[in-house]
Amino acid sequence: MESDPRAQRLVDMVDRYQAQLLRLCYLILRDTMLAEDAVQETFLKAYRAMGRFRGDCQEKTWLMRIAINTCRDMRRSAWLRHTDRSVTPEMLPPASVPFEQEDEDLLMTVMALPIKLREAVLLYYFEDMRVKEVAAALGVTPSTVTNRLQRAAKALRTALERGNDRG
Amino acid sequence: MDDRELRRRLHLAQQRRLSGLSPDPYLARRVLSRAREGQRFKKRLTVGVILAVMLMASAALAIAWLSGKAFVKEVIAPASIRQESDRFTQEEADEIIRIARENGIELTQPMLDGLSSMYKETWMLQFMKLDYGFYPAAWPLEEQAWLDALLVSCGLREQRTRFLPAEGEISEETAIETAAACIREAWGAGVLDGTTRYVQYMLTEDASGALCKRWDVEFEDAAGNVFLAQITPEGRVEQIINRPAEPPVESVEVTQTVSETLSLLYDDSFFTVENLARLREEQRALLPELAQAQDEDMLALRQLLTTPYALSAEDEISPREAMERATQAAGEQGFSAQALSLCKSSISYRQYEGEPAVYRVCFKLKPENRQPFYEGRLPFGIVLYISPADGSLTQAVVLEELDGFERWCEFPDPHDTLSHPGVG
Repeated sequence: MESDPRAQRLVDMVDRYQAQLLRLCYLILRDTMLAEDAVQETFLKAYRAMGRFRGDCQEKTWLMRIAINTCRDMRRSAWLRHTDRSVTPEMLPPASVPFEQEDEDLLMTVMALPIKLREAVLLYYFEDMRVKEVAAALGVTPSTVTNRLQRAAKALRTALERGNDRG
Repeated sequence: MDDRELRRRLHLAQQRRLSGLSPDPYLARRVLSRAREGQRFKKRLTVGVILAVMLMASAALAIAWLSGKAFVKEVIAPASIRQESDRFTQEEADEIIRIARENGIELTQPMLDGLSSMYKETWMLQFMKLDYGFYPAAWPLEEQAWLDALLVSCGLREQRTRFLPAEGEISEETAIETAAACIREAWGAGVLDGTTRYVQYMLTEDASGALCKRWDVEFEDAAGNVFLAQITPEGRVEQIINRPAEPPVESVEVTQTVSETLSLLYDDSFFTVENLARLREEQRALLPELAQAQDEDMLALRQLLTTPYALSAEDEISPREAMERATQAAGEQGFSAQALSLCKSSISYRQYEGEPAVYRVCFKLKPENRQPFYEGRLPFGIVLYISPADGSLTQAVVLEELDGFERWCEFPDPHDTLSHPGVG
């Protein structure tokens, strides 16, 4: 076992949140390898900052905030600025369990959202954060979050209705 | 459709369609390794488009490079900024090796082994070692700082981590004298006789986690005992340490076997009665090598090798029947078939001395399915002990909390010698 309590806590956090963070980072960065790098970077930053985590929010919220900022840094890199990162369904990683067409349509719609709306959707709908927490994580006001969520939800509902019409 | 329904559908979509995104079982170890060693974190895979390999034109071959450092500067660094990845492509690597050979640089097998990772940073390090020796901490300070600056300028390191003293900061000589004086004062005048010295002026973290510069002066004797002093840029001794020599490391062969065995433990499907019994039978020879284990995975392996796994007898119920019985018993304890489908499981047959044999079946929620647990709707898991003689349930333990062994269902068990906070 890890005798260092910080290291043990990191092991626990990785066990508990790695899969969630990987999906979050993938939906922001739209690239499996970049998402893996972002998750690794997130946990490293968390490990280094553990002593400064004062428990003013949930551990999960804290990690999500670090992940979002890490993804933003990666998106700002010269590499991503000059690369077309649009995704087609064929580019999604192969699923390991059966899925519905609606699942794919919804995710494609999420990934096509402008980044600001996408971040809000990921934290609010996928990570179950409250509007206030999303606002804190994104560094904007709660009303801005509400506004972004309303715009995003409209697009998502339209995608679902389109799917229903087809089905 | 209300928000709740939209959330439910998005959750489902994510869990099903992105189910192929697989977590890295070694992630925690990688992060700790980087955090502790101050190394740049390696990306696991190359990123993006691979640009055409346009390494040194043949005209450059007319120049005879005399040193590893010059080769790093003239060939490896320019090649490394041609594409964004941390690693060279195979074509680039082949080309660099060809140029090195054509310019009279002798590449030994250990060096070629070192280059097999393809990391650009490693390549620069390997060629620098040709000139300055194996341990970078033993290189002249100027060369440590030079390579560090090069790595930053090539985008392979985020910030400077090795420095030359700036104006107002103590010199290397002063740092060494200060370190030696306080070590001799603490442990005796002769302790540094015949030692090898390693000096680095590096970026590190202070007690509060803030980044800061520190002189790191180490003296190592022939037996491997280390005396270390850390000194601030102003010349204040921050700490001195005497680290005794480490016990001999396991042989390469044993390390490899342990590593291969450990890799089995990350596959949930490995935990069957047959596999566990075979593991104990075939790998018990590793136990002496694991006696001093401190690493979490090694301790887990040691626990597995000391657990009395066996195969059931012909007149006992089969593992399959035991699993069916356990599934039924779990249902009686409130774990529906649907809840169990969210879990990973393991089954083993154990024969503790002086006790009746028992099947141990454990179900724990998979990391991606723990939302119901976090919301208090499901316990984390359940352990069931089934009698091989008649299939009766002898004990059921509901895991109400995370137990510190989320990765494996095989732990903890009342007989385990492993301990963990939160495990009674």
